[in-house]
Amino acid sequence: MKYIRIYAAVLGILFLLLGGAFLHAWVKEGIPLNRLRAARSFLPSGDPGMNTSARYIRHLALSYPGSPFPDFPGQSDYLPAGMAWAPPHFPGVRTRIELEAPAFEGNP
Amino acid sequence: MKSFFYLANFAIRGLMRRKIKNISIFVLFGLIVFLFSGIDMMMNALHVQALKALEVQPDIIVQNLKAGRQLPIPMKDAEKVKKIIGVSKVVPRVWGNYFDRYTNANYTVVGVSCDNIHRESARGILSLTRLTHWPLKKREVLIGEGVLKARYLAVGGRLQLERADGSPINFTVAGSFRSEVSLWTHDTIVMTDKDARDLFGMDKAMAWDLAVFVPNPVEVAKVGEKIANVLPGARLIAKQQLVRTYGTSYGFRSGLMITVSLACLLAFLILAYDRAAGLSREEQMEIAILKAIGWETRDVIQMTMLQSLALSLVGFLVGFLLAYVNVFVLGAPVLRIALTGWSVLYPPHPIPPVLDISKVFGLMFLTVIPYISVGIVPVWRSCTIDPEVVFRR
Repeated sequence: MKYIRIYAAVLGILFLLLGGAFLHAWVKEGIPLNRLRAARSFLPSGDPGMNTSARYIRHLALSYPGSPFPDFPGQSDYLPAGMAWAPPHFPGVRTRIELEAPAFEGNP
Repeated sequence: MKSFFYLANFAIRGLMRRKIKNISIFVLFGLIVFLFSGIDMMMNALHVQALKALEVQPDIIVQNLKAGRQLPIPMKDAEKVKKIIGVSKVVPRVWGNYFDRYTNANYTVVGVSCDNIHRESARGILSLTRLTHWPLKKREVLIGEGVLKARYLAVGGRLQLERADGSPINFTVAGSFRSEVSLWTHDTIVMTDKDARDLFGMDKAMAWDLAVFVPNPVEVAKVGEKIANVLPGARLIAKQQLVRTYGTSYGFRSGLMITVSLACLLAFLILAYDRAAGLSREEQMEIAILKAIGWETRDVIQMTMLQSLALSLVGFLVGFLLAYVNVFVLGAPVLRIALTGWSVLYPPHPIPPVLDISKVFGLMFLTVIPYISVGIVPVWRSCTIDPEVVFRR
């Protein structure tokens, strides 16, 4: 039964280390929200450095060299994913153009 | 129960008989788990930090758009929005991006009206920064660590910026942000409202956007509708939109990388199946001997599954722990660039760790179970061969 004991010891150590990782994550969870509120006036953007030029998958309030607006007519998006998503909905406000179909004039 | 332990002991002894093959499988398996869990941990941590920052953002941001491009918004629009029922506060913001041609970096310059900040917030600000006094005086700045390093500055030093016409403005560095907020303030320069207007050449009657605070989250949509009626043509960005946009963005990036890594996982599983299917003469003899001495097919399959479980469980834990250390202790240098994008000024500190037990089990299910499963059918096929046929070969 020697081998199973050695294996169990190795597994036990690894699970202990995993527990240690959870403890480390709990201790180092970062700045609490109530302290971060004090910096509210300094944070015009909640963007922690994400950089992508796709239109609708980046911070809408950021002005950036790769901005969500084209620099010339017909310019393709730098990142194809920008065309994969439509603008997000904002309840109560129209964010998309909706065309109504014309009334049908003909025999039913 | 005792017989199970004897079986497990026998299974592990079987693994030790083919050390090199099993070590190579263990290393490959650990590598795949390392890749998958590293991507997942990194994305999850970044997403949590982004959501944390969004919590303190205004409920609605109002921007002035003309021909689809953003322009400064008149301050009198803030008065119109303030009158809407449900709005508790409207803050016209003066901020922007400043390109520093000496370091090729973009800084985020934020103008703060110190009079609007309460004493409680002022105390909070002092705890997050290395400032000795608040409010900031004229031509004083509070800067992030990235700006300090990029410009080789220290507190009390001089920071020179340029207006749009090229004329210089000199500022004194009054303090810097602490590293615990560096994820959001690494490239930030905070100054008084008046100094920011002077730097950007913005008129007193204009602001860059309006930050609207609505205490009741249920009323946000209705307030937005009313703002749109009062300011037609303005772009409204609700906090919830940003929350969803970030979710999409982070999900897209991590999904892309995981999809690519899925190919590695599939290749590994095919390799594992091939290994199980192409048993060597020695392994076939082993199974034949076990069958000859009275082992049933299900006992042999059980033993094989225990071997796969023993190998994959240790491989998973080692891969996962190494990924944790790589992402949250070392800062994941290679993965970070691929997942967060390029930036001249990016905080070097590791991201605060976020671990979710459900993700650990999910990842275990995604990797360990398939590995155990691929070995069952090939072993069963070997068991169906008559031991005598194997002995006579």
